Amino acid sequence: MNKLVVVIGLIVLFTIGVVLFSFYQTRTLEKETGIFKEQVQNKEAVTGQPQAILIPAHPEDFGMVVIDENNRPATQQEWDRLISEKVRELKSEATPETWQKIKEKINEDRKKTEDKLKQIDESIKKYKEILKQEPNNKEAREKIERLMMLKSIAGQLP
Amino acid sequence: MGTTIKVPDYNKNGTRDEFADFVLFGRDAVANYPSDQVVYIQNNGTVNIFPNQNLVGKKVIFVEGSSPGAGNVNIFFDGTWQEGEDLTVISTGGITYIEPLQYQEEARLSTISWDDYNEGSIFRSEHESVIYTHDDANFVDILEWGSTTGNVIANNAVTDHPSDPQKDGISMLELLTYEKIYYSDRAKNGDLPPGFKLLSGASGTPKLMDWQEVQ
Repeated sequence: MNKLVVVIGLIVLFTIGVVLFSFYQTRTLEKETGIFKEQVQNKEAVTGQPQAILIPAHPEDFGMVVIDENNRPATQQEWDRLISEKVRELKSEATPETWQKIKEKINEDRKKTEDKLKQIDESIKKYKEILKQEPNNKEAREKIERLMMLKSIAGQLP
Repeated sequence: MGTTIKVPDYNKNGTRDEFADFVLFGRDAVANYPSDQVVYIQNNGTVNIFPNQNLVGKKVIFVEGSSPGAGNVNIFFDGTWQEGEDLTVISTGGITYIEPLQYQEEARLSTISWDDYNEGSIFRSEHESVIYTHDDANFVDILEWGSTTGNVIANNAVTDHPSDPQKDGISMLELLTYEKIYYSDRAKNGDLPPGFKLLSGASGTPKLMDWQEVQ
């Protein structure tokens, strides 16, 4: 009888251990990847129809690049690296006709592009000064990012 | 954030939880298409999308963050897009569209975002789109002339700035050249981009797309 109690006790303890370990693993995965493990099911969807189970995809499988909010590209070089790699991939996918069309539009006035790049540099300088004074100025930070992205695009497209 | 049109109570819980309703809308937009035509992403970071061959034929991409403003999206030029593409990107954060280069016939890339929509270009940009933002639409870094064919609906105009309704909503600050917007109401001819049907008021109940045209 005592042996039976011990065996049952061990089974209960083992089950609790497995549940706790599985819970810990799930939370660690969510923390590391930002991907929530749970599958999403909404019974009362917009249409009022039972909704299918949605399984989150990995953005990388679709050529997307995810940037962690605490690890955003901070310099022009970092944006250039990210964008140049992707533009190279896209170049190989586009038809020669499409690429030619893009090339024509972009090279309409190289001098004008050079001028615009100078304007971008001046704007980046201006907003970096603002950010120095107001480190929490979200608008200034986002503005700098947009300008850096534009500069990268200008440098990578034909 | 104050909006002129509220997100309907999609989850029917009787409370003013607009964000939860918006999330439900996004999930439903995804669920309305076969799984090979959608991409559903849960992430609190910024997702950078480079429209490529992997996304050809997709109808909806929904980036869902766990809180309002999380799950931002950057979309970079879409020169490799093919004719007839019709994709809607939905985000619980903001959407930034950098250098739209849609030279293909009948190719559309529309957006629905909880936070701001921003657009910037350094070369001449063209795109056909319906843009819905629950916040402001900012065409602020247009360094070469650009054109958008479609609609821009920015839902954060009047109530946030009652004394100066022009202050936000759709802003076109720091344009070095100009942005032309060709009005094309796809709601009227029933040719709505993917996902927008759920926002449309066609069913009779008030929805997010029940806006009034500016005269």
